[in-house]
Amino acid sequence: MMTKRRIVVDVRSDGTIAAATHGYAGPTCLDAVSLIEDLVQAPIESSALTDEFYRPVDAEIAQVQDFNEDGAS
Amino acid sequence: MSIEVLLIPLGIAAYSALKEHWRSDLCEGCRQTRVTERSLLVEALETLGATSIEHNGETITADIKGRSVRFQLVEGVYLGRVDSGADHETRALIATVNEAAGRVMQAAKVDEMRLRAAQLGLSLVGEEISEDGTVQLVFEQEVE
Repeated sequence: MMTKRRIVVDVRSDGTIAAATHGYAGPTCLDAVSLIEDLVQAPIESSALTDEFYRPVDAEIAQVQDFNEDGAS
Repeated sequence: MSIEVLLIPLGIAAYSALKEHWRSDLCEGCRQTRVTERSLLVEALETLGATSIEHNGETITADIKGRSVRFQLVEGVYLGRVDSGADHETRALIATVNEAAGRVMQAAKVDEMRLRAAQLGLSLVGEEISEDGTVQLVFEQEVE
């Protein structure tokens, strides 16, 4: 079964960039970090895991399905 | 959402990396910009309508609205001033140049990401500009 994952990138007018992952269950979101670096072509200044990182994978997948249905906010 | 990251593109300095005290003797009357690369500074000056832009080593000079301005690369960051100008004029120049450089970088990064996404297996599924000028790009990846 195919799963959709999202990366939301905010490119600010001062040139700095913030990015967040959606749907990368648990520690797999760490894989997304290198993908973000490749996409943005910029070094990471700081990073933070959100509370959802620590949720069980099943809960994360359910949330992603909800997110995909609702779209990014 | 599982992880959030902040990225600072090459060419601009992170706010946290800017020094409060720098060697003012290396550029008298100057103030610190956030720009670290010559090409970005030149492009920012061009967007501001600067003329007679010349660079010699680590120094860039130009004319903006009839005023001569000078920038000097000191310890990896450009300092700048309005020649024979008051400090408030130099501060206004630096703020304007920083804003212009940010917009130049923003436009370049948005264009780069649009092109690079497909190469990385990502689809651009959303794009929005907020009131503060932030461009939000939403990329999607399908995995098994």
